[in-house]
Amino acid sequence: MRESAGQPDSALPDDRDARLQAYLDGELPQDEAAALEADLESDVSLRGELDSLRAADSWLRREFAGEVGAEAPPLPDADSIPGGNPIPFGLPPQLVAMAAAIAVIVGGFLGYQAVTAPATFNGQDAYNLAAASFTPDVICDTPEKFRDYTSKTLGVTIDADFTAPVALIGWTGVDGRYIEAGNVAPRVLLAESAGGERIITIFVRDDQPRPALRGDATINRFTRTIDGVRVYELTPLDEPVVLGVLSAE
Amino acid sequence: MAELRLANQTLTREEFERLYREAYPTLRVVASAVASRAFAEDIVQQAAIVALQRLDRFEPGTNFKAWMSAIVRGAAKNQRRSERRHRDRILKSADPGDGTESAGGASGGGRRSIPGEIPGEIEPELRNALASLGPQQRTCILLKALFDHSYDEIAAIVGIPSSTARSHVHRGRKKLAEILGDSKGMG
Repeated sequence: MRESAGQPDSALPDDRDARLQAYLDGELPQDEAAALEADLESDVSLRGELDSLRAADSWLRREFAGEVGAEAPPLPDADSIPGGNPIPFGLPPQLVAMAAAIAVIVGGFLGYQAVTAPATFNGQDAYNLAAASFTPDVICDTPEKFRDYTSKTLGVTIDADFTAPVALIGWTGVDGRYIEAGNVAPRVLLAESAGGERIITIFVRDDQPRPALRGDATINRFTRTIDGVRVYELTPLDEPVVLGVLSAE
Repeated sequence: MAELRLANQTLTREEFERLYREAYPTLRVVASAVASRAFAEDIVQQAAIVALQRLDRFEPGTNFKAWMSAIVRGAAKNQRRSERRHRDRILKSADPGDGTESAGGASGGGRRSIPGEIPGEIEPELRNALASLGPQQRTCILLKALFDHSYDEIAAIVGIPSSTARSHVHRGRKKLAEILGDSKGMG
């Protein structure tokens, strides 16, 4: 508004902006900073521009407040790959085997070969084995049952669109019963795409240990967080189909 | 001669984990700026696994954040491609207004109202402006605003010259400031 002869340091808009931004970054030499502060006293327009630049930074800090103090989740234990059980909970052997299969598949999605993985590891075979071995012991075949089960086992109510072009076959719990809070076993939802491909979806709460990750590029993995629940979709398809039909209440 | 360092100068896993924890918030922001925020944690973890497998390629004493950031950016780009395909598919298949939430929308910053003096109605405009920046510019402006990294440090993390990092921050910040300035003028 006012680039008058009385404001020689801010004669050009670009200079003016560069000067303000350098001031904001604490990069102006002391004498130049003092001169700018004097200008700010008398130039309302200049002060308004500085306020807007500051407000931009403030908005970014508020918008991304959660990122600044974010803590790294534990890295997977390399020693538990590939033979061990990377999901630490005491379960019947068949369920431990299932969990190990899940872990293998989850890792398969990443598309990276683990340090200790044998060169011949085949993620597709592991996926096929796991997909065929699941026997749903809790069937959530209606939206109401699905919501009730997620609420009781995950502490979060998740909705699923049962009219979507994917069949949600069932939900596998650890032992077929509702699990008390604090149990760290993953919940597994089985689904079938319109083309008949079986899809495994794993739900893990953010405060629970995650399946270990290891690698093979032959399985696709997609993830999404719904209200503090991490959902992994393991699929032979190139695109996720289950994640798109889930939503928080 | 050159091979000598490989035998005894790679990071141990413990050293890696310490540096990784320190760098983690920055790496998350790098991932968020390239792909959507909902996937940032997974992307960084994927990158950490890759990095663990390539520890012998990191030279201790050099810039760990810059090295990890390069890996994170690669993983984030892959995720972004996947998100785009998924979004296209959802857009094609979903009925308008069916309430289906697309992937990546779960933990992004799209719902909170801003406390303080910024009018809530310009939040979408600010977010759109931020989204319209290129990933590189978005990374620069976030690293500056959130962590007050120096331009040299931002340049190393993003893999660009320092002058470009500065220019990205100034232009991006100005773009947001203009929206905020306009809103004050209108109010």
